[in-house]
Amino acid sequence: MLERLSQMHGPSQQPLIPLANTPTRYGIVAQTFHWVIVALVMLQFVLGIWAHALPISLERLILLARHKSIGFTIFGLVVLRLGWRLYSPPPPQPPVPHPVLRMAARLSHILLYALLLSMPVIGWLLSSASNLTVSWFGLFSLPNLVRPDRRLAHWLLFTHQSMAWLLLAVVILHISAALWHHIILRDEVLLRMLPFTRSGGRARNPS
Amino acid sequence: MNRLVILCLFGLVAACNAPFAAASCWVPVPALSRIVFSTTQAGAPFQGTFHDYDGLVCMDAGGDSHIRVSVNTASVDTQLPELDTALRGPDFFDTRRWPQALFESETVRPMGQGRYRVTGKLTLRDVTHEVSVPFTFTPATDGNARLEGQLSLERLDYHIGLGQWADTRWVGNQVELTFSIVVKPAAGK
Repeated sequence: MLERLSQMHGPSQQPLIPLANTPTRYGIVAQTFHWVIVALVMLQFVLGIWAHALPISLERLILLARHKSIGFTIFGLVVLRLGWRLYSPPPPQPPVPHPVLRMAARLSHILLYALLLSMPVIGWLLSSASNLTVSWFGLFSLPNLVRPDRRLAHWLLFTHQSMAWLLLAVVILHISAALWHHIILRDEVLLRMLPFTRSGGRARNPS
Repeated sequence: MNRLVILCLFGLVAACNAPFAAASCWVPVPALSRIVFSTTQAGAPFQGTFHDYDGLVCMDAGGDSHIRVSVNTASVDTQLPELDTALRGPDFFDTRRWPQALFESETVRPMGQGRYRVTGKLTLRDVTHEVSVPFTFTPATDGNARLEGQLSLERLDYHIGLGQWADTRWVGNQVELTFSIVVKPAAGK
């Protein structure tokens, strides 16, 4: 099995994607964090909007229970991801045409991390204020952060929803920027976060 | 006691009432009391309360104690207005058809040191089951007394949570009913 795996990677016997980040691309760990969080955040939007549209029902109870468990999971993954980032620094940002754009890229990344960390906490607070203790997939319960408080819950729900739309806006900006790098600037910013692509291809074969 | 019975036979009304005065009847003071139900939702603990109830607690050292409690089911409060509305609805307490939950004792057995065990009929909706509840009765210095205890029941036994809500994986079947009720002497009883 191991032999066959190494054969798949060709004569160099180098894995397709390194485990850690390299100066030219993201490693398998950083990529897994990125794409798993992407999938979970997409699921969160679906669950949140779907549940919000339902009247009180068992279906809504189940959807929101899943939403809370996944939210807590995202929080944990983002914390681990930031830890990994410290251990294995990401490849440096490529030069962009304007320092303002460089600053915008930096700010949008900080905002993404800030939202991914704060939205689960606001949701947890919202659940506590609503007298609904959060259980992580039925395996353990999280402590309640605040006492039940209807007015606080109302305000937290508004905040959580506003943050969701802000997150969507920043994600759209993030995707647009990645496509801009790929199509207009023709650099490796998008490719280096994609699995199954060899790094340096574009640099070696400029078209 | 014998003398009282004899006096009673002679038709002395005041003497006849005396054992009851000694037995002493009490009524709840909801403002100082709590009736809490605890169960689970999505695997996490969940609590609610009932605010409004009435009753009569007659404690008699001679063994003729009697307890009756009626709870206004519409007074259910989970701090989630939307859920409270659902709990008052047809799938749960159906408060319009059955506005009262009732407990009526059959026997009250003293267990010593202020502890008792009451056995009686509990009626939720149109379902009645016999339950046995240990409790403490503690007279206070201000002339009131406190009744405390806990009762465990399965909500589906009483048809609480019908249809989609019968799912016990997401809405716990086991419900703990905890009460700490301040009672004051009943006037004119």
